[in-house]
This record gives sequence, structure tokens and C-alpha cells, in this order.
Amino acid sequence: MSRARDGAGRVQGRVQGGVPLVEVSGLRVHDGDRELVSAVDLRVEPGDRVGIIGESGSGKSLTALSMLGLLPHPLRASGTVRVGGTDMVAGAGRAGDRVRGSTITAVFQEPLTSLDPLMSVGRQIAWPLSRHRGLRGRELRTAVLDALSDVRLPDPERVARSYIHEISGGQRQRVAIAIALACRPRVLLADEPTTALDVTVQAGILDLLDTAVRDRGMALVLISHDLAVVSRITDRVLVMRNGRGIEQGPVERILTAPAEAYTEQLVASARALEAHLPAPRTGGTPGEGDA
Amino acid sequence: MSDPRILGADAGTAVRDAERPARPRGARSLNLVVGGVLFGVIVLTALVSLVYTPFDPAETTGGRLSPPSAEHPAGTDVLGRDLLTFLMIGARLAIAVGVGSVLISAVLGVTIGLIAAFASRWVDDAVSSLLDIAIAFPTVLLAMLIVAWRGASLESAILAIGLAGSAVVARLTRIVGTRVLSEAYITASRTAGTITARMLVLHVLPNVWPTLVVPFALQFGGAVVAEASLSYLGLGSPPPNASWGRLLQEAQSTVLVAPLGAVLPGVLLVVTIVGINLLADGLRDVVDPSSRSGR
Repeated sequence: MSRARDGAGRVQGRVQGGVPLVEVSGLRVHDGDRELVSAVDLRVEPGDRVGIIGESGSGKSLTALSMLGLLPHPLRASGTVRVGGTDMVAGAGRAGDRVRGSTITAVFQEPLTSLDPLMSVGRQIAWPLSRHRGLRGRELRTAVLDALSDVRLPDPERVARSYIHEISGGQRQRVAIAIALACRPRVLLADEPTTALDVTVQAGILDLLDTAVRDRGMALVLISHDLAVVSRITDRVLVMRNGRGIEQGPVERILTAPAEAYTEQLVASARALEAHLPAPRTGGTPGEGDA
Repeated sequence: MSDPRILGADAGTAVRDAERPARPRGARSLNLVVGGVLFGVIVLTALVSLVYTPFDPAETTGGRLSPPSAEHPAGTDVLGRDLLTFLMIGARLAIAVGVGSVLISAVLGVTIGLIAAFASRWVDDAVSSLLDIAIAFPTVLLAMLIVAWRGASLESAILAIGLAGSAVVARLTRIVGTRVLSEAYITASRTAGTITARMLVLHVLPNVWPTLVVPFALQFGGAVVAEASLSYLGLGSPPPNASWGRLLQEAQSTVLVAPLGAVLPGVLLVVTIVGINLLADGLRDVVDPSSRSGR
């Protein structure tokens, strides 16, 4: 049933272009009296690639969790957050459960903690496949292995049997992406997906996200503190600072003619870093090894 | 590969690692083997007693308090009944007490603990306060109340010990469950559309379980001791279906004449408790796949 609705919705979204996949307007997140996020606006249409950039504590991740309807307990959202037409501010309950997975899903920063340590990789991928595509038995087994090779994991049979502590950080993130893709969502939310990874691994993961999203015609919301990472695979950028969306526009415009002083600063520092690198378009500075 | 766990990224594993003293792996598997053998002997005795005992437990033909002989390897009791037969039946009862009370504790305790972990703040607070009261309530007193209500029997003892244990299990489950629910993989799984009920079966129970296995095994031992104490106080079932605790009490008056009647049930109790505790210690590795690989 969810498959049929999903397919229909996807076509409808493209043809009409009227209802945005994700609509965030006037989003505020409170912790009691404290306002952590104020006035964030964002629209994501089918196939869009949007980056959200900002320093730690700028409210990027809270914005992401609000889109998923998964703000941790004492935090409360207000304003409008609609995903596939469902209100995620009020509908954190059953309605949210239907939207999560089928319309929107997420990949998080630290793949070690965002995967179940006591469940084999194969079983973790099998669950969304059986839920969202209704696969069972041998079909399911084949789909699990396909999902693993889709994210370019070597030896899918072995990886499927492994527990996450038995594979490397980059492989873990590929597994997390495979799980997200297995849901066949219309929007993939990637919250700092490369931050916990080795620089050499980062590039591979970004490539993977890039092609996976393009091949499937999905929209992508990429959250990062790294302008190089964001500008590499997104078309539009929202700059956040202190819980506010301060500037939004096409990547080229943000890079060449930033309107805000803060954005200018971000671009300048990113350029300064790039200048030290022999090869252009490699995300970030060389790290000190696995994180 | 440098191990990211060192950064304390995985709180669950970090806690388990902290609990585990730096001991060679061989020592731990030795625990498992010795514990398994000791406990296995008791379980085997219990199983054999279901199909074979040397005498009918009610048969009084052995002569009063006779010493060990070929016919009665452990001697006889004050009414001339075969002691070995009683000891074998006692093993069966000990296993029944352990399994029964741990089952009651597990079902009740895990359910209450998970409800508290999932529930809103004030339900959690209310349940936790009730649990603290329940834990403070003495097991023996609870047992006496249940015996007064249902009469002295094995079932009453199992019920009392199981109920008393469930509060401890509930509190532990609540703590571990809350921790598991705050893990990133729960949030990640929700983003894939996993609903609460499914989450419970898929991620919460499997991740709570390894932390509970060892306490369950320890509780098994505790239950056997508790039942022995209750029986010693006369709150257990009398012979011919007597537990080791009851045998201890029965032998009390004749301990100077026929010491074996008191020594043997005591030794078997010790074997059971030491066996299950060693087994519990050794089990820790087996139930936790993340500690299985050589790190």
C-alpha cells in the first residue's frame, strides 16, 4: 500500500510542482523559555539539493530533527514544518511514523552509534526493505545484498553477516546510507554524514550520496559545517548562525557574492583552506586519522 | 584501525567495558566451564529424579537414621526414608524455584521497567518510587504474607521470591532501557519509520537483554538461597516433597547423631550457588557479540 502511494505521490509532486516536499517556515525550537532555533525557512522541491551550513550550535541539527519530528524530549518546535504534506510539528506520533522512512529519512554523523551494535548489518538493512517494499524470504536476501553492493561495499555477503564493530568507519556510513536508501524516501536528510570520517573516506561517501540521490531522483538536504563539502554536491545553501537562517541562495551566488558578512567570512576561510591544498575540491583539511 | 570506542562514543559498550575487570580471557572461560559442570550436575540430578529415584520418597523401610550403606548411599532420615531420594527431589525443587521465580521476575520486571523507560516523566517517576518501596520490602515478610494467603507450598515460595525479584529487575530494566532509548541508533531507526512497538522488539529488548542475563543468573542463585531460608523457617513444603532448606531444618534436631542429613543438603546448596554464579560470570562474554571479537 505504501508503495503505491509513494509512487503516485512522486509523480504528482513533479507534475504539479505546487506542494513542496519539505516546507519549513517560521520554525522555532524551544527548550523551556530558551529559544534555540528562531525563524528558519526552507523549501525543498522534489529533486532539490539543499545544503544547510553553520557552525556548531547554530541549530542545523535541531532543524533537521524538527523535519523528522524527532526532537528529543524537553525540546518543543513551533511554526510550520510539513513533510509530504504532513505536519511534523504536531504530528510527531502516528502520522510522523508514516512519513518517516517513506517520504523522508536520515543519515547521521556518527555511524558507530547510529547503527544497532547487537544486530547484524544484513538484518538492519532487511527491516526497512521488508517494511517499505514488502519483501520476504529469498527476495529480501537478494535485495539486502543488492543494497550493500549499491553503496559499493566490497564482499556484501560478508558485510551482511558482520556486526558494526567488525567493519570500518567508512563502511559503517555506507551501511547507514544503504539503510536510508532501502526505504526509498523522497528526501534524504544527511546530518554531517562525513564529519566523523577520515578525509580520504569523506570524498567517497560524498560521491556515493551524490550519485545515489541523482540516480533515484531523490531530494537531498545536506547539513555540514564544511562549506567545501556542501558546495560540492548541493545547488542551494541555507546559512545558519545562532539558531537563525541568515542567508539562502544558489551555491554559486553564495560563493561569489555573499550578502551577509558572516557568510563572506565562511567563504573566505574555506578558500584559505583550499588554497593550501594541492588538489582542488577535496573536502576539508587532512585529519589525524580515524575519528 | 584505531578503535573509535575509546572516544566513549558508544556508552553501552563503555559501561560494559568498565564492568569487566582486566582479566585474561582464559580465566573467564574457566568460570564458564567450572560453573557449567557444577550447575550441570544439579540439573542432571533434577532431570534424573523425574524418571528415577532409588526409593519411593514415602517408603520408610530403611531403619531410623541409618548411616550410609550400599542400599542407602546417603543414609536415611528420622522416619527411615532414603536421604539420596530426598536430595534428588531437592535438586528438582531447587531448579523449579530458580526457573519459576526468575521467569516471574523477568516477565513482570522487564514489562514494568520498559513501561517506565518509555513512559512520560511523571509515570516514570511514579513507577520508580513504587519500585523503591517494593525493593525496601523484605522478601521474607512478603513470603509470609503470601504463605498466610495461599498456605505453605513451593508455589507460594516461588511467587514470593519472583515478586520480590521483579522490583529489582524492573529498576535495572528501566535504567538500561532509558539508556538504550537515548542511543543514536534508536533515533536513526525511527527515521526509517520504525514504530514504537516494533522498536521494542527490534532494538530495545535485544540491547537490554545482555545486561540482564547476568543478573538473571545471579537471581537464580539468590532464589534458591531464599527458598532454602523460607523452608528453614518452615514456610516451604514438607517431606516427601522437601527442598534442601527443609531437609536442613528436619535434620537440625539429629545433627549430632546423623550429621550427613544436614551436611549433604548444605553442600548441594553451595554447589548450586557457586555453579550458577560462576556460570553467570562466564555468560557475560557469550551473550554480547560486541565483546566476542578479539579487540
